[in-house]
Amino acid sequence: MKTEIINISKSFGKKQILKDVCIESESGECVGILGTNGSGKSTLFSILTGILKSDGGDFLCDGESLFKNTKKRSELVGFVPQSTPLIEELTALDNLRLWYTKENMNYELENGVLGILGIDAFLKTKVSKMSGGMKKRLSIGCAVAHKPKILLLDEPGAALDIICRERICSYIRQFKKDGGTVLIATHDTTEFELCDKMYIIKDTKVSEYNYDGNIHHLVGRL
Amino acid sequence: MKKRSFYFLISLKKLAGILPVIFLVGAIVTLTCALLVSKTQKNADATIKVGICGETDNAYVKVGTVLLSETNTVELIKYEDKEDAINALKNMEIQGCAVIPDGFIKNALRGKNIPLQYYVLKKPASLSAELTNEVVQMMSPVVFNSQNAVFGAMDYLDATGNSDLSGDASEELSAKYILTLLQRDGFFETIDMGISHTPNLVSYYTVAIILLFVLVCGTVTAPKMIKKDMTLSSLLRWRGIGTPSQILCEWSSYSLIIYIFVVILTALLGQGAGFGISLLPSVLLITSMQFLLFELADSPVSGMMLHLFVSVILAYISGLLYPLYLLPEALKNFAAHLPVGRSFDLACKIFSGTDDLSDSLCVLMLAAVILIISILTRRIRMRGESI
Repeated sequence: MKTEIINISKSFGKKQILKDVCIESESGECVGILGTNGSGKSTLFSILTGILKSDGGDFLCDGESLFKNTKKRSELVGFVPQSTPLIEELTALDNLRLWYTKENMNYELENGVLGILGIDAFLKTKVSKMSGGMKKRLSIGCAVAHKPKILLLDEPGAALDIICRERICSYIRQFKKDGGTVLIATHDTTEFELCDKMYIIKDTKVSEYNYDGNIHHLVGRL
Repeated sequence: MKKRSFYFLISLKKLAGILPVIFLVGAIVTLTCALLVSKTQKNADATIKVGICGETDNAYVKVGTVLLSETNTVELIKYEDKEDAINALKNMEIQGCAVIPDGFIKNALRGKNIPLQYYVLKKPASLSAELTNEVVQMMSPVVFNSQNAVFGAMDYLDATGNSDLSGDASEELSAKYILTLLQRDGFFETIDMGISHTPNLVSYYTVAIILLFVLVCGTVTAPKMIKKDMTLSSLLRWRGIGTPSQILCEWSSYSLIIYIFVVILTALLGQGAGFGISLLPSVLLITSMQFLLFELADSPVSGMMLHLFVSVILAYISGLLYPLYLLPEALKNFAAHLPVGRSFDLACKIFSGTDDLSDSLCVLMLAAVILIISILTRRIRMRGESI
């Protein structure tokens, strides 16, 4: 499965955020998207999911436009935003019920993604009482309920402890292994290791980057 | 459909946290209403105390005082001394004081006019003082004019050589007209036509308090209802629960809870659960307005302030805080087109049984328009907020 982002542009009024952004990936790949705060990473993800409309460009999967075929896009794409889109007053179980059927949820808790993410340990906990890591894991669990093939993650490891980050990384590795494509916006060097390719967004444009393990070189490029 | 139904149930469950607050508001409202009703009842049952002094031993005055005392509204208190009566008035033990001057009846029988004096406290807002005024003003000219008729009869008897009959005739005629004039049940007849657009004052304020309860609920629940960001809404929209479905599910779950409390409250206030049930269109209109305010706010604090400000202003100009007839005509006309004004108007009509289907439909249509604006507001917010 080949995923292509072709010439995506977006501006808010007179301010250009993205210009002719092009990214390619194959199934089983993890693409890292780097950039400073406000460089347009979240905007790009919002466009790919259809939450925002682009000024131009396309998002293709095996040659088919996912901007035009919104039904296919909803089936193929899963999105975990930076903030945790959960209903604070409810438990993890109730939040999952919004996205899973009962049978699917039980299966995933025992054998699937919810088990990998360790969500079964805090199913009856109210979201307002959860730690940041628990909320993030729950968000990921909710985002993959429909078994997407393309997963967009916006800084999944931000403000999480090392154990939590490792759980998420385990899940991403499993996702890749199952043939999925991951696009991950990150500042986290541990997540760099997951990435098969990296792109930097700077001054509205995107360019490919080969991370050599030297953080100073990366900082120089940003 | 299944997803939407589940989202409605989820929204209901989410609102479980606001139940204690609404319960507390309802309890305060019930207590306030009970106090208001009991105080008004007390005032309604109270009689007007009128002092009387001077030439009170005269037979005609005695008949008059006995008849007045038998009414439910006036209590006549006899004072030996004018000074005692005036002091009692100053101490507000009585609401007015009628002084019958010496020789009043004797001069009246001879056609001479010595006016009754009546003393009242200068309290324009005092209904009882005005009423006392009216009672005495009414008595005085009626007594004198009726006496003229009696004089005429005496003159006729004298002129026809029946002077020996004039004494008895005069007494009989005078007693007759006093009995006729002062007997309240013969004075007028009240015909109840059975229609009234506005309830009486107690009922007016009961209806007002019920709607105030709904407004207060919106203010205290605003922190729970306001969305700080649109991330979840955007995701829900992306995943098949569109903005109209979201708004409808959230609004209807909120309205359902408020409506149940309104029905319970109206039953507790003695208006019957049936009246509460019929208030559905009024409640829906106010909750739709509240929902729009929830959508316009982007933080709990600003949302609560916005709600409080809007609720107080609308409550005031719609007649929930002061009777509508006290407000200027232009303001009344303006308020009649606003959600709270329309809700209150419909609630009053339902109370007095003068509503019809078109009134409820108009209210529901207005609620629908406001909900459409809420949907558009949320969409604009979602577009403006990048996740």
